[in-house]
Amino acid sequence: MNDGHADDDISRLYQKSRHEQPPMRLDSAILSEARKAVEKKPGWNFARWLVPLTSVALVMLTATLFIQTRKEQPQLLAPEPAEEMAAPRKEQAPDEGAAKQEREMKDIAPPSPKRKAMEDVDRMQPRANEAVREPLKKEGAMDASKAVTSDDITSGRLAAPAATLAPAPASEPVLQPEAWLEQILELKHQGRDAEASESLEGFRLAYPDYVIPGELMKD
Amino acid sequence: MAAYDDVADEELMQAYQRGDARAFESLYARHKGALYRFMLRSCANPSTAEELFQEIWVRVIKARGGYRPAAKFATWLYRIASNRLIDHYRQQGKWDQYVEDDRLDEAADCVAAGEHEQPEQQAHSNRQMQRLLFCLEQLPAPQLQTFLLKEEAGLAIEEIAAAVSCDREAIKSRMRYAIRKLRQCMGSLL
Repeated sequence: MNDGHADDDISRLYQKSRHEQPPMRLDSAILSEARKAVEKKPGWNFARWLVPLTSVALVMLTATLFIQTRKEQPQLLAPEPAEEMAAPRKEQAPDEGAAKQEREMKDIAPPSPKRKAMEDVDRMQPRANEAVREPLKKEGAMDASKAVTSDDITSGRLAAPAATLAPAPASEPVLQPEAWLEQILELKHQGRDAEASESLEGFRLAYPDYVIPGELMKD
Repeated sequence: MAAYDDVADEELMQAYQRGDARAFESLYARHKGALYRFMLRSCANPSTAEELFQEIWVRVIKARGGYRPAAKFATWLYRIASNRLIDHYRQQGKWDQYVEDDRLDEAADCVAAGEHEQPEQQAHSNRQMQRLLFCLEQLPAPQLQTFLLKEEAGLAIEEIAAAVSCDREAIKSRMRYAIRKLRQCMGSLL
């Protein structure tokens, strides 16, 4: 035997005995656990999607209202096609005669009820548009306030929300292993063995490959 | 699974970190037998060995984020296993015995040679294996652990030292005594 390696004959013999395998139920349990661990979609947090989904719903609602209002507008004007036709002609080909005639008609004739309705709609339109834009503006502001910048993260300003939205790893211990072990040691020195033992169990779960000093292993 | 046949353990673990469950399946298939036997030989009770075996893999799954490919996967896996085993000894109140066994390496030269010796006529390969397994059970825990890490996990002395957090010379010494005891225990069956 050289350099601490097993004797060849012992090694050969041992290799022949290597036939035990874990039972199938263990395989299934472990593989299922492994799949479950990575199947968890960290992004599918209801709270995280609440704001964007609400925003989309609001935009849809306001857009629908806006379209509905626009649809109702031509119905009010439908009986006066001549007036509607006159306006574009006025812009496209300035016809002095027609324009003059229209000016005269406007001055002389009192506004018809339908025209008045149209003017009312025109007057109200900016306010309606404003009403539509207002929630959007607010929504935009809300999005902006929710936007997380790298500065926010590094400065720790958003530590609490990030923790609530973060996936599983966020729940992992914050303490560094050395600090944690010192705490456990302190508990042991104070004679709080049960707490120390419990904390050590937690440490093991968090840092399974970390070497625990012998001092802490003593019962 | 064939797609991962030529992929190194470390890359498979990284793939699993990224969410590839099939990479883990491949990794598990490679190491499950050796780790299972490592636990089986290290625990007196097979059901305890199974329980610990499952716990170790669950810890691997949970600690996947902390794995760095700088460490060989097998070393990392067996470090977790060794830690769990030590915790088990501690829970069973056998930690002092473990430490004592390690100290007695130099003094306890052998398991009474010949005491359990079988007649030469029974030197059948099956018997040999049974005898070897029996002899392994007689080894002090640190020596058994060292022997199994070499034979089951295929770790080199330095890697065993890293896995059990011991220095290289101590591991060499454990291995030397383990082999000597096994030879003596096997007697004429070897």
